[in-house]
Amino acid sequence: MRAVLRNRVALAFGALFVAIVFACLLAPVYAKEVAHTGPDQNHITETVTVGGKQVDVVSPSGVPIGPTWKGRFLLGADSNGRDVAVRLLYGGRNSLEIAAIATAITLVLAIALGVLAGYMRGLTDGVLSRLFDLVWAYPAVLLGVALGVALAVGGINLGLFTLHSGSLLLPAFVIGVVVFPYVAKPLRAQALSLREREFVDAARIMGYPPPFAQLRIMVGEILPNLASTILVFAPLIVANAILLEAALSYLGAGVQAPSPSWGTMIADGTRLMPGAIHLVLVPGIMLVVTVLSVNVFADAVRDALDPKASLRGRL
Amino acid sequence: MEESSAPISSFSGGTPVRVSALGSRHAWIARFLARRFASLVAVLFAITVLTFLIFQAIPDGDPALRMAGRLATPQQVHDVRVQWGFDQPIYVQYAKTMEKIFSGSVISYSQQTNVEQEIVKDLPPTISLAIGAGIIWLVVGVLFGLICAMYAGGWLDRALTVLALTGISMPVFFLGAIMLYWLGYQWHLLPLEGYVPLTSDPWGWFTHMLMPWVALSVVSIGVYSRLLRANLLDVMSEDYVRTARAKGLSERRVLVKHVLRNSLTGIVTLWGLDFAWVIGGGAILVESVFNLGGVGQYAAQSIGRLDIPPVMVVTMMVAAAVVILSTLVDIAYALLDPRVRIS
Amino acid sequence: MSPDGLPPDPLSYRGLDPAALDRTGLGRPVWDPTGERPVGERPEGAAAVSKSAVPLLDVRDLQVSFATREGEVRAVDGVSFALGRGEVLAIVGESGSGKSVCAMTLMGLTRGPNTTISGQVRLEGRELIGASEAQLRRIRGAELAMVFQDPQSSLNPVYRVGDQIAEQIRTHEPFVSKARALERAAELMERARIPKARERVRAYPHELSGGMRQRVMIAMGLSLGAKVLLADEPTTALDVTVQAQILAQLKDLREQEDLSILLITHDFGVVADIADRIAVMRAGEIVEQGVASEIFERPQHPYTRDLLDALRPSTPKIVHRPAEGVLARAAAGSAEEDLVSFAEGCPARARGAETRTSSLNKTPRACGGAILEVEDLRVSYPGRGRHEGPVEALAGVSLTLGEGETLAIVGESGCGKTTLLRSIAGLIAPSAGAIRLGGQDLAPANGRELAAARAELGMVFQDPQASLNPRRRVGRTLERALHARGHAKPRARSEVAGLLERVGLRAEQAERFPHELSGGERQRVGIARALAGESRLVLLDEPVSSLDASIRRGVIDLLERLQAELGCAYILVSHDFTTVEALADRIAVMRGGHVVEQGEAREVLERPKHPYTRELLKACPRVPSSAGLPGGVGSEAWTTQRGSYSA
Repeated sequence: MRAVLRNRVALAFGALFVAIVFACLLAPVYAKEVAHTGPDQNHITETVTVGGKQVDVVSPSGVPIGPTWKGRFLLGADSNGRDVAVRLLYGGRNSLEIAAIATAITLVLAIALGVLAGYMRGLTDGVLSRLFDLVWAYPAVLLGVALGVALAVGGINLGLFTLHSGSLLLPAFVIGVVVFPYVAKPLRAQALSLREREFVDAARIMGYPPPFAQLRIMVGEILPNLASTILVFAPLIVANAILLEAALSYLGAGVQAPSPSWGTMIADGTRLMPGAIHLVLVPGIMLVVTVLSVNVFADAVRDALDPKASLRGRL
Repeated sequence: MEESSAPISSFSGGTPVRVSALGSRHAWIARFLARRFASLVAVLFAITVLTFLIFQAIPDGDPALRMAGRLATPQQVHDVRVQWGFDQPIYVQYAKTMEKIFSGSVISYSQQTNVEQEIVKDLPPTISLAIGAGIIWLVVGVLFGLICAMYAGGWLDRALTVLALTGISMPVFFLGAIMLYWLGYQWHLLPLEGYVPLTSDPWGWFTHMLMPWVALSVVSIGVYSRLLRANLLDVMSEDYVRTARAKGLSERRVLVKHVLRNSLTGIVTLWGLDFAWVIGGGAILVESVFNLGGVGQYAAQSIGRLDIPPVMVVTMMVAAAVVILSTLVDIAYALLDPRVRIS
Repeated sequence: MSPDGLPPDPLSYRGLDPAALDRTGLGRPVWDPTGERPVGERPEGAAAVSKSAVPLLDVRDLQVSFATREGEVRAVDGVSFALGRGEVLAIVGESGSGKSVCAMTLMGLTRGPNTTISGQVRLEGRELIGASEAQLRRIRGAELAMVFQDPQSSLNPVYRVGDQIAEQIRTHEPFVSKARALERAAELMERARIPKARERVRAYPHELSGGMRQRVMIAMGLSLGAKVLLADEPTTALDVTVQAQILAQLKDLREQEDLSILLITHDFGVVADIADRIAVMRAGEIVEQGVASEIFERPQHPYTRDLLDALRPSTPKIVHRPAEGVLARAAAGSAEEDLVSFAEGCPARARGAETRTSSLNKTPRACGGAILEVEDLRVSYPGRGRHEGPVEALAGVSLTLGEGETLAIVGESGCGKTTLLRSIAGLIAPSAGAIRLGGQDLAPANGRELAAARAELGMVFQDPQASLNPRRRVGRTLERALHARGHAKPRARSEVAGLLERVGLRAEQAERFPHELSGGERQRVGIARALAGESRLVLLDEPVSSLDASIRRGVIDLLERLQAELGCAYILVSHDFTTVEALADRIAVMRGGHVVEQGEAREVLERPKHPYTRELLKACPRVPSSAGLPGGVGSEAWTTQRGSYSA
């Protein structure tokens, strides 16, 4: 990990990501203090002073104002007269929150099931591997869309918990389920090979009574050795979750209106093309910058923890 | 450690050699194919079941209402319930669903159209998109991956890596929208939207497909070239590459005959899997941005209308296509690598 | 990267005079510490073995360093040697000594942006260090050939073997047609004594056995009539019997084709038979160099002596009257005793009747019964591949082991000895037969009983690095072991310190991670773990094979001492007879899943009855006996034991 900290580029991008997260969390503050408006408030009939002139927030032909670079409508307005900057931050909050929860769900599922499959082998592995392959066979976006649509209408009630159709947890749940096989399969493979290592044999010889013996070995011997793989995967999952959420929201199968999300904002903007290109650029650039910073950081982590990365000359 | 089960007093060598005579390998290939086919069928079956469950069997909610759509009258809802068997046990529902799908009689109620006919109509743009983009990213991806691996650690490698990372971080629909805006609306270089069939106007077809192809490829090139770079670096550090150099082969020869040949399996499998993603995810998004009218866009529009039957059918089809494709990839892998034995 | 216990600087090692160590016979010093003019004239009477005065390969002051993340690493630090026609020079050193880098640099294979190379390398007068890549390429394969350690990974798995040989031919002789090149490849394979060469030309590398693959590599290397062969650990990855064949082939090549061979190895035994001259390398430098017989008989440098010493037990169990040895050690020990008498007829008693026990173990061992009984054990795996039925890894093995006894199981790879060990350990479920540990039946035991029975069993693995959880401090590993054996947690912690000291480590090393310890220290931790909780039976799977030669001695001594103190029984699996001789009371020889011979160690080694045992003993490479250690106690006995073995 120290090598990561030494990589200044990675650190810079990591800090950038943290800054973005921070900014999004401070959305309410911004809304109140700077923009004086909420994410859902329409100002469609109002006017704003720009360069000394009074300009319609939304022109009669439906084209909203571009960035004013001032406190109000800093980055312009959308077709409903809503402040883009405010929606950007609130949308960011939603997108990042969904991504975080989805990552957590993915990790829990992937670790638990992956290690179980890899260590227990036999029938357990057979069933779980088939499950992984099955979910994996559906391209992520398609499955996400399918699930999103299917659940959007009625929500889901799994007995243990209920998710209503407007809830943010719904897309998070969908993404978590869709992405987990991509992580579970490599974890399973690693657990499989770790199981053959001699220190696991040594632990088996220790003589813990079953059934705890296997659990102890899985948690005590195998899991700690997966730590670096998990650390490499985590930021990657975050990046992909953000992108997937944006795609789902763009298609209408993720965050539902009127809640803002970067994906829905880009969808709105695309509809208005070629006018008001700022509606596409602003959330889009934000999205790219956020995901890029996560990816650069993830790359540095991978470089640092992956033993193959170090080229030490042939000795 | 190796096996030597022959008596050691006879110094003629150990285990009998299974020299691959042509016949025996063919026989093995035949059996391998048979087995893969069987498992393919099983997986396809599982896919149909799972898709069915997703759409029809979500707990809490009225599947008939879902199928009929938001604008349905109670009478229509009742009809749907009877036709699809929602008032009957689940395996009957499954059977009816499959029957409808295979007989090509799935109807989109809110649109009053036959789903499968629509899909067939919408295939050409999707196929053009997929194949074109696939070729582009294969060629460019291999090139970038190769360059990065050869100059690993150098500035070129780092620059291309940054480029790749940016590509990966970019949502496909955003890139498409940007390209459309500048190349289309502002500079009028390329047509704005729509699809022109290849047969009627090749040049038109090409200009209409160019932006979608690029939009789709950029992301894939990013992912693919990085994976390939890692793969190539691995192969380059193998012992047999060292042997090849020790034999006096030129660097170029080593690269082509040993490194690339051994990376071929990696190249093929990675490409094959990416292709599936393109069909499934990228196509939906890109087609919507450029209004190509393909299967993906059809699915996207249905999603927007919350019209379930088309989405269900498309999902099933795409998943099936993915599985078939990955089976083909597996087979190619087995054929390319003589070490692969029955698992 | 230096082996345990030895200081990094060879020069300061017991203050030796460099001039006395020059035995190249060519009037050049091995190294010159003071930077003055070269010392060391050609010693009187020291004749160079090379048949011509001008060396074929002349290396002077070769230095190779790599720039790595952690700074500059000097892999080769001023190495000089010469190789004449038809000569075999062996460079012997342990891992990390730089010997492989040295060889690869000769071929120019280490060139790169991070590498700095200086010095002179002359092949038939032509300078190689500064040569262009194109020039080097012409030399590679055509005049300088190289054979690597692992023939499996050194051959490209997707091309046929004949094609790979043909590739080399056509690279240097582009006008040879493909068909003709394949013809020549087949001829070469025939000459390399690969049976059914014509057919096997079309084989893939994975279809050949290890020995055959290495022959292919040699054939490939010499396909263009190269005069110098660099062989980097050519036999390390092969079985002992195959190793003998390959070495014989190399000897033939030397005789018939006047081939010069630079043989790189870590194994002195391999070198004994074939080398004309030997150079000993350590930490990038050659510490001693000279004619082979001289090195064996009168090794000068302490490192050389340590290396040779590690291969010869100074007090082999079987040769000395064991009682003397044990009693001598006991007497030399400290005053506190807790002597225990052993019952009549117990083999431990035969060893001297009195041993010390530790404070951990106060009850006298009730010896007289067998601690382990294995009856007709069978283990079979379902066959892979189309024609093969189930593979019988163990086809009915029966043995018994008494308290405090050591049974050594020897055999080549694939004979089933590891399977046997793992079955006893409970890692593999046998298909038939019974295993009884202390009377308790292990084989079909259910979980709880099995766990209880295993409490008396410990296992030491071959690779100490792999057998310790890399993410856990060694102290915690030992705690867990003790805890599993029923020791309460708080008590376990304090016992860990005791355990570590018992195996010769310091208590504070409990806080270390495995990668922070050296190979020998890790193995000691493994031994400590195996002993945790008063194990009565310790299974040892090649306990010293992956350790450097110079530290093996220490670990073997430790094992002997522990057995004497604790009275535990050992089952030792090894392919290395040195270890076996030092520790074994009885030996069982295995082959193909059967035990072909079993008996008292001395009997089996001196008077083997089964023809396979005889073959095996004959094939094992031996350091020559006429080499004596100054004041070594075992030398005469060694000669009588081994018969004549001329260097």
